[in-house]
Amino acid sequence: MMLAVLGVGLLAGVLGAILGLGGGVVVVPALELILPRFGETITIQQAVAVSQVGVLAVGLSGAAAYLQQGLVRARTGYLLSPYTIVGGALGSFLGLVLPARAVATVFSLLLIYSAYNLLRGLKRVEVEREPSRLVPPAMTFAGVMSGLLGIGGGTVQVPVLNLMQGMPIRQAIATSTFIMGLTAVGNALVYQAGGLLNLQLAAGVALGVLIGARAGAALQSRIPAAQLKLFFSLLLLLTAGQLLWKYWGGA
Amino acid sequence: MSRPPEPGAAPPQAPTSPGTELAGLPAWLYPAGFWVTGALLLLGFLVPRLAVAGVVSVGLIPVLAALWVAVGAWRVDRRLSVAALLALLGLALVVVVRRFV
Repeated sequence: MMLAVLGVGLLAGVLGAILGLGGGVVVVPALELILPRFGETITIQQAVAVSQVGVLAVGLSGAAAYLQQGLVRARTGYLLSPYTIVGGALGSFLGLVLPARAVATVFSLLLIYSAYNLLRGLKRVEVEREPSRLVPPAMTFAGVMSGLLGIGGGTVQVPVLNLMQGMPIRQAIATSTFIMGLTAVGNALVYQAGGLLNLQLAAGVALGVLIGARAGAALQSRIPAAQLKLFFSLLLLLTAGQLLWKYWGGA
Repeated sequence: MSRPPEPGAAPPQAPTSPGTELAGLPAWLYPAGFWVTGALLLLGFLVPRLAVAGVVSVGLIPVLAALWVAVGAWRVDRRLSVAALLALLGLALVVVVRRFV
């Protein structure tokens, strides 16, 4: 079973490096689908808890690489991180108290939105400009989503940094990864306190992510991103349908 | 518009341009953290009761980095230092509140 968990982390790491979408969006549904095949049951909240450690690994691996390339706006990251940490803690507490069906529904909507963004391509700006006043609440919201769903920064935080903070897209991606490392610490602590974090599974996923992210960076130029995007989008839609069916099908 | 620096004046201490926005982070911290954490996670994978060491390590690196920035920037960039301290305070608060969860 642990080899399968390692594989989930590897997949998340590789896809994260190639598509910029590989945190909870991969880890949470993959654990939900794979673990029952080994006779282990896992709730969506437990999968989100494990995913938080996966996000930490993405943050560590990504920050190490992006800092070397000079892409991280660390000062801006630290100035915004209190908002994401507060939001993350709030989202994690919500994850503990909300029924699994509610979390699964929000997660399915996120998967559908991610698939749409992958196919359409994110709206982005490349010209630096003055930050909007809405950045702090938007970053808090990004934190809430990360805490509740175990996702990294790609889906909410990057658009906020790019479109509202006025940060060029590559720096937005790098800075978002950097911020998520710190935010996910708080999130993981909340889930651990709630008794939902399985350390063995978390270590397996994190190890896979660390290796996968490195491998993905090397594979990036050899894999046709367009076809992968289409395939992955369809997979996301299928997974969303499967999650909705699992939690609402018997209703 | 910002005023140009006077000749002979000390360079501005707070990093403002994108290229200098490293906030005083040491270049070795994250790469070293990556390898140490990788080794500990591998150890935890092989010896499951040691899994906690890798998980703690992966969370410790960003905390150490924030602490480094909070202390290092205190005299040169107070706003940055306070923001890093606030981030750490938020985490400390989570640790305190988790006792009541």
